[in-house]
Amino acid sequence: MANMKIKAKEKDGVVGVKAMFTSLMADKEEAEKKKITAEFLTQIVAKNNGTVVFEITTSGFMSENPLFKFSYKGKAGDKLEITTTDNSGKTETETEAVK
Amino acid sequence: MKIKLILLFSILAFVLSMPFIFNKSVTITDPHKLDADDNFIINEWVEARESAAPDWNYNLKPVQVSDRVWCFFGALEMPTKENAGDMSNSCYIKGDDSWIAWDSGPSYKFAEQAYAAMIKIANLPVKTVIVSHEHDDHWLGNNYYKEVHGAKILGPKSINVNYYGPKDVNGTKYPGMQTRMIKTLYQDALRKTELVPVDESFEDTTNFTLSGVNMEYVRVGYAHSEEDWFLYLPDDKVVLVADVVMNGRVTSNRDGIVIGQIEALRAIKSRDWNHLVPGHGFITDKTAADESVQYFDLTKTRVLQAIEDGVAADDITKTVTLEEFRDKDLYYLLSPGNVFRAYEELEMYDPDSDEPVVAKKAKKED
Repeated sequence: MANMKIKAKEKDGVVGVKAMFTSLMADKEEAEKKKITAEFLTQIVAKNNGTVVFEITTSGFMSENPLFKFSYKGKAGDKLEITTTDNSGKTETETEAVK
Repeated sequence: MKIKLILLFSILAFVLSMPFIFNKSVTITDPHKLDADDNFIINEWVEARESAAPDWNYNLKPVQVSDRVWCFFGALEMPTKENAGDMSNSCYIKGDDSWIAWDSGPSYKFAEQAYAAMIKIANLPVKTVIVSHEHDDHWLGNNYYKEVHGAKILGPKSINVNYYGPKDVNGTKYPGMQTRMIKTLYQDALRKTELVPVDESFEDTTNFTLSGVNMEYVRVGYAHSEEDWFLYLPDDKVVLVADVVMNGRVTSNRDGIVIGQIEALRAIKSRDWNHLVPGHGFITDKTAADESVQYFDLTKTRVLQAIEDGVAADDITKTVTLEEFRDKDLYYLLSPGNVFRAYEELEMYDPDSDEPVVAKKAKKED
């Protein structure tokens, strides 16, 4: 199952994006306290038709299942691709057409 | 001079009281009751509240809903010591040779007194108890029927999964989950109440006949709680729906989802019934579900519109107030929480998608 859910909608030439990612976002310290395995996203990159429009380095400081909002100039029908990388180096990619 | 002195003393008194007026910090006297994130531990085990008082008298009077169905209607309140947990509805269905109980109420004593009232109508044993969902105001009387009548308990799997121990919560071991009723009520009401597991669960909607009564036990899934069911009696044209419908008060959607509720209400509407018994509320005629339908439709429409308009989560309870329900019981206590939870649920909602409404919970490894 996908580890993210994406909503992308264009209005007046600006694409508003909401993306929710499924991750514990538990860093080493939290994992030790809770006796769980450390698991958090380290990087999120969004590309619109191949051009990077959003990029962020993340860590366990964020909440579990974090939700991001960002916007960029684009149009309906564009292809938005979001890739996440977690602390074990595993990557996942999802694509969504802008509405 | 006198005025100056009064003024001076007033200022002095205000300055001295400032630390008490403006200090809103909480003094933590038991730091061991905090979890790894410094939150209060909500699963804390509570010792039974002692009481030497005689058993609580629930003063139960069954109300006949149809030829074969009688119900007990609870107060439109939260569970308190004053109502002893009698704040939900439970029913009895008269079969050929036994009663069938639909939900068993908040305690052993409640179930015992409910049965004592029912044998005045027909002196039959209770051979089956059918449970609607896992919230404890609906099933803590199960052990009375199990121990005294040897009844079979049919109900959702989630009761066994979520309440029976031992449980490990963030590294702490518990013998089982204490329900809020057990934490709230005194022993005069709670005496002899024990958690008993459900004997049989079903994967999907099931038709059966018990003591000559045809029934459809309908699975509506994640609606008011993790796993909700309702009971349809086609020959009697009665539907017992528990908490997916409430009237006269605002629902508590703390464990539920708006989209699931709307689906459940559609499933109820698709049955042919003349009487509907809600989980909370006194209206049982054809209009019984109207308030719930309106509440969830308005919540969904208005919260989605607010999200579209860019309203932030912090402001949603000021923007979506559901004024139509202001005169209903528990409005001020529960409605803002329902709206906020609806925002969390619907923020990523896509009507065209088959994806689950709520992001799946990441699995924690013990």
